[in-house]
Amino acid sequence: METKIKDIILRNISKSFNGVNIINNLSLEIPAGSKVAVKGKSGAGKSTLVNMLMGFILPDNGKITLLGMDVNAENINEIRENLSWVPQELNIDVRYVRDLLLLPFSYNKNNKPSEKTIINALDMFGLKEGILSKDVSEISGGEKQRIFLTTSSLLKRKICFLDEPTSGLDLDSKRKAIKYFLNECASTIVAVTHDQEWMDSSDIKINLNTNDLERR
Amino acid sequence: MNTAIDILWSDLALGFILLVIPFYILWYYRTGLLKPAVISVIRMTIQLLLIGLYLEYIFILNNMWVNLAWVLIMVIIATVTTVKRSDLYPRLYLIPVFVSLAISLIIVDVYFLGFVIKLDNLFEAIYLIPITGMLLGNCIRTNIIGLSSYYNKLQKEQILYKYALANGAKKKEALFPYMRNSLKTSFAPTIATMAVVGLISLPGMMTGQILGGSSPSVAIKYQIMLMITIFVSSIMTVVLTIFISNKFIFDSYHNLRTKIIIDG
Repeated sequence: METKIKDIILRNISKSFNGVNIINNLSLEIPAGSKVAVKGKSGAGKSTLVNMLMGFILPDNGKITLLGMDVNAENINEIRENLSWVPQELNIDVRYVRDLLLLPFSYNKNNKPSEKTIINALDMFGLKEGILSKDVSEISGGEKQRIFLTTSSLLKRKICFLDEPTSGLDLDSKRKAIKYFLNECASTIVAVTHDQEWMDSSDIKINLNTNDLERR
Repeated sequence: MNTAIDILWSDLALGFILLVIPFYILWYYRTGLLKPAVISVIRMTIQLLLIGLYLEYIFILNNMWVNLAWVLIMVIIATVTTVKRSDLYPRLYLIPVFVSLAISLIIVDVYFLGFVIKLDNLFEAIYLIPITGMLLGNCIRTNIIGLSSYYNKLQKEQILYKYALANGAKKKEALFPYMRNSLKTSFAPTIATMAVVGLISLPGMMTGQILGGSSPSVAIKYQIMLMITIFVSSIMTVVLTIFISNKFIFDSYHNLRTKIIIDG
């Protein structure tokens, strides 16, 4: 384990907001391909941590390295090109589910997947091809969540960040998501989650209440 | 053709009697708008009286520097009005709005007055000042709609912007939906109005020229050019302001620096 390439390295990271210390001197190393679950009470800094890893919030102290590159202004574009992120909640002003699913593929960097690849990916999350032509307003919160997870899987990035990936899912869909992200996919997965089953299936648990790192 | 009949000062006062109608309606429905309406009418009257006197003097003088100084003052007032009414922070936006207005006006004025009308003197007061004034007046309206919709959406829907960046978008691509939305909201009305000009509305400039003694065929040519120049200069101003301010409101990680609009 120790000899594997480290996808994420944090050295003495601290962050305060308005004088309140949210993250205090956190250090950790995450080998490539690890499945990481981040847990902690509300306000413990879960989303702050994930936002810092993506370069959306800058730490007050310490250094973050992703994929061998320090997170700084110079590297941020290259780092972000290797990431994908599924936020907990997101409203996008598009009409059809297809547009919602494929939004990131309108960016130059991402090659549009073939129709067959799209259908296979939908199937992994228990969705049928027919959903693509539906109005976004017609689908449920859980279906929307699965669409975003499908997008993330199609992007095939080195590191995927998932924010409460199972919060709106029924048991069957949840197990499908766990199967794909934690068992089948080769990427490093960092998920903020309260779900016990997801945590139990992860290799590394970061508990932000105590700053503890637990490896399976 | 004759020039328009002058309105006697006493007759102008007669015109004010018409205001009884809107004032009564605003008062009756307790809109709270009576006082602002009275103040606006007084301001409008005094401002126009002063400008009338001033322009008469400026047109006689017709000095390039005085004319340019007057245009500069108009641009500054337009800048302040735009920033204030779009709920934008002056320290962030005064310069971008001013520079964008100035650039679009210079391009459009030089093109229209120099190449289309072919004036010998580009700074001829009776052309430069009214035309710049009409361009500015119309730019302000579309700018306020365009800028406030861009920055409001960006402030309120930051998560979509981050979603784009974190899934492979360049900054320009991540900002694309905000720009599209801003242009759609601000220019859909302009485009719709253009389609019905002449059918259901006779524009102010054309009416003024006809009353001033120009033949309708000359007046419409000016009006056509004016519609085009307003369209061009206002779209240029909105896009330029957004481009320039984008340099200031993001940090080197492409994150929004801080709050970018008041009460956003």
